[in-house]
Amino acid sequence: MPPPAFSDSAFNSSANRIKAIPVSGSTSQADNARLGLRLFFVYSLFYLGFVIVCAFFPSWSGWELVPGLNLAIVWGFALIGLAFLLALVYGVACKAERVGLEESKEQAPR
Amino acid sequence: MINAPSLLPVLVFLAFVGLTLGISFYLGGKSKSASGYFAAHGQIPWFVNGVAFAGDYLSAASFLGICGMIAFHGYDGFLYSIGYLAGWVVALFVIAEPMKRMGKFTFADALNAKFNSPGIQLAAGISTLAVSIFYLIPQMVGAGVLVQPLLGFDHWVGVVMVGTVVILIVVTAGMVSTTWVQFLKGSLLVLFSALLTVMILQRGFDATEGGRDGHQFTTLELPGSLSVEEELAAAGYNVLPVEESWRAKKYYRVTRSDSTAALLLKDVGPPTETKRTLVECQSWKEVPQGLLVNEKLQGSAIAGQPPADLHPVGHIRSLPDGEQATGPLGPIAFLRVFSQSEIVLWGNEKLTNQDGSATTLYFPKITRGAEVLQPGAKFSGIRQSEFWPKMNFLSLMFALFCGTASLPHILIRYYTVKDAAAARKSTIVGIATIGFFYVLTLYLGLGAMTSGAMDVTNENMAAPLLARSMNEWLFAMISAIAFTTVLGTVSGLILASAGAVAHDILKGFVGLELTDHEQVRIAKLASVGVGMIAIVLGILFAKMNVNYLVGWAFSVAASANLPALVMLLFWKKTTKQGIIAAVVVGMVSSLGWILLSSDTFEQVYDVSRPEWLATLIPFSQPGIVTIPLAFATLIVVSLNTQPSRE
Repeated sequence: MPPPAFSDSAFNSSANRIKAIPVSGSTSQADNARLGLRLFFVYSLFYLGFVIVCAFFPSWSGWELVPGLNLAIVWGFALIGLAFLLALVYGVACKAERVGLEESKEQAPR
Repeated sequence: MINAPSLLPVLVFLAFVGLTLGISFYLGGKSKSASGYFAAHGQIPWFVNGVAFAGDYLSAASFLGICGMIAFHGYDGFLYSIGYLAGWVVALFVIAEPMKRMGKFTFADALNAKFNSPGIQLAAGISTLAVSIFYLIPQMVGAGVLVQPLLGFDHWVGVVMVGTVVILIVVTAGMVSTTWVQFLKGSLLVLFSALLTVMILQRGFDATEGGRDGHQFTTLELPGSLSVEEELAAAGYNVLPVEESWRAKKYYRVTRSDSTAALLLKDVGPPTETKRTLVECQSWKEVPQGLLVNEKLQGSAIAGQPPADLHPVGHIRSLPDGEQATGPLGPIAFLRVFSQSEIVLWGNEKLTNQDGSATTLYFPKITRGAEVLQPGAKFSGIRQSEFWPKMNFLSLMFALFCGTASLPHILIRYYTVKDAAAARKSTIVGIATIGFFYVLTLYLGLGAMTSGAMDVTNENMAAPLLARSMNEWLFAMISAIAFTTVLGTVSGLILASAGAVAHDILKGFVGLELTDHEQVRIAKLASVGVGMIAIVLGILFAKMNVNYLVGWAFSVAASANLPALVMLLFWKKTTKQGIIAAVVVGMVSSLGWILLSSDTFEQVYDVSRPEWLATLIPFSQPGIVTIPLAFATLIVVSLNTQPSRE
C-alpha cells in the first residue's frame, strides 16, 4: 500500500513552494493536500504572531481594544474562531472538488 | 478542605456512571474481532466520531486543569486552551487524511505502511506506550480530585476506583463502546459547561471580604512610618512569636486585644511609599494526628462552632464605581466589569520550621482584574527581560501546537470512520465542539476565581467546587460527567497502549503469529498491566496541576511522533532508519529533559537540583529543543542510509 509520495519541498511553509507539490493518487487528494497546507500556513502565522507578542511584547497584550477586551483576549478568541472558520473553508472547498471529481473519489488506496 | 458527601449528588453520580458502563458493556458485546476491538470496524458515523474526538480530547485536564489554572492564575490557563485547539489545525490540515489512507489499527501501522519494518513497529509501539502512560497520569490525578469533594474519599481511592472501572471497561469492551461513551460524554460536557457559564453570567459579581463560609479576611493598612510591631501594637494587636523562617518572609502572628484567636498576617509591602498593607493568611501543615489548618487540627470542633478547616477563597474585593453587586451580566460586560475590579488571588510558599517540619502558607494577592486578564501570572518569566523563561513559554506553545496531531489515542480515532472524507468531516465537528468548549473555559475559570468556593490547597478542584457553589444537582452532574470523561479518556489511552503492545510490539516486532482472537486477548492483558501502572503514577503525582502534566505529555508526543509522521508524508528521502532514529531520539530526549527539569525537581522529587543541570537544562518545557532535534536526526540518518539506486 503506497503512501502518497509528496515532494521534499512540501513541508516548507513558503507559500509559493507549496504550489509545487506533485501528488500521486487522485487529483482531489492533491488539491486537498495543497489547500490544507495553505490554510495551515495562514493559521500558523496568526498563531506565531500571538505567541511572539505574549513572549516578547507582554505589555501590548494588556492594550484594550474595546473596554474590557484587551488584545490578549481578542486575539485568543480570534485564534479559536479562526481555527473553526478555516476548518469550515477546508470542509466546503474539499467537498466542491469532490463533486467535480466524483469518479476519482474511490481511488484512495485503502 | 473537608469534603462531606451528601446523598443526592452521590445518587445522581452513581446513576450516571452506571448508565455509561451499561452502554459500554452492551456495545462491547458486539465487537469480537480485532478490527472491531481496535477500530470499531471503521463504521462509526462521522458526526458521532467528531463529537467523540471532543470527548477523547476534552479530558480531565481540559476540564479540571484549565479551569483550575485560570481560577488561580488568570489568563495563563487560557493559553493552554488556545494551544490545544491550535493543535487541531495541524491535525486537520496536515495529518488527518494521509493518516487515514495509510493505516489500519494503530499509529505504528501508519508510520510503517511504506517500509514494513519490525524496527519501526517497535519504536512507534514503545513511543505510543510512553506517551499514553504520560498522558494517563493527569487523568488519574483528575479522577482522584473528582471523587474527593463528591464522595468524601481520599485522593488515592478515586485513582484506584477509576483504574479498576476502566480496566473493566477496556477488557469487556473495545473501540465501539468507547466511541459511543465518548460521544455521550463529549456532548454532555459541552452542554453542561455552557449551562454553568450561563449561570455564572446570571450570577454576576459581588464585592466581599471573603469566601462562601462567611469568614471575612482581615486586611490592615498601616501608616508605614514605624516598625511593623509598633504599628500593630498601636492598632490594638498583640504580636506573638513566629518561626524564624516565617519572620524572614514577613509573616506576623497576632491576637486582637479583645480575642484569643491567633491571626496570621503577611506584610505584602507598601502600595504607596507611606503605607504598608498586611493581609490575613492561611496555614497548612501535616502532623501525626492529621492536618493542622490555621493552627487547629482539621475537623476539630469547639462547641457552637463549625469544625476547623481552611476557609474557602476566591473573591472580588471591589467592583468598579464602588458597586456591591452587579446582577446578571452579558459575556462582554462580564469581562469588562472583571477587568475594572480588584480580585484577590492566592499565592503560597512552603517554609521549613526549626524542628525540621514544613508548613505551607497561603497568602492573598490583591490584583487588578485587567492584570489577571493578561498572560504572565503563571509564566511570570514572560513579563521579565530574562531570556530562558521566555524560551520556556515559547517551547510550551510550540509543543501544544505540534502535540495534538501526534497523540496516539487521537490518531487511532481516524481509523474508526470509513474514509478520508469522513475523517475530515469528523475533525471539523471536533474542532467546532472543542473550540466552543475552550471559549467557555475562560468564563468557567473566572467564575470559579470569584465564586468564593475555591480550595486554596488544590487548583484541580476549581470546576467541581464552582458547580457546587451554584447548586448540588449541577455539582453532581458535572462531577459525574467529568468522572466519565476521565473514564473515557483513560479507556482510550489504555486501548492505544494495549494496541501498541499486542499489535505493534508482539505481532509486528517479535513476529508472533497471532490470530485475531489471540491478539485481542493479549491486548486485554496488556490493558490490565497499563491500568495498574496508571494507578500507581496517579497516586504519586497527586499534587501537580493536571493541565501542566498534560502539557508534558504533548511535548513527548510531539517530539517522538510528529517529526517521523510529517517527514514520512512529505519527504521522499525518508528511510526506515531515519524514522526509527527520530522516534527514539525524540522520545528519549524529551522524557529525559522533563525528568531533569527544575519543575520536576521542585514539584515531584522535592529536592534541590544540582547546579550543573541548571546550565544544561535552563528551562522546563522540552519541545522547542527536542522537536527540531528529532527532525534533524531524521534528516541526517535518512541521508546517510539512502538505498543504492538500482
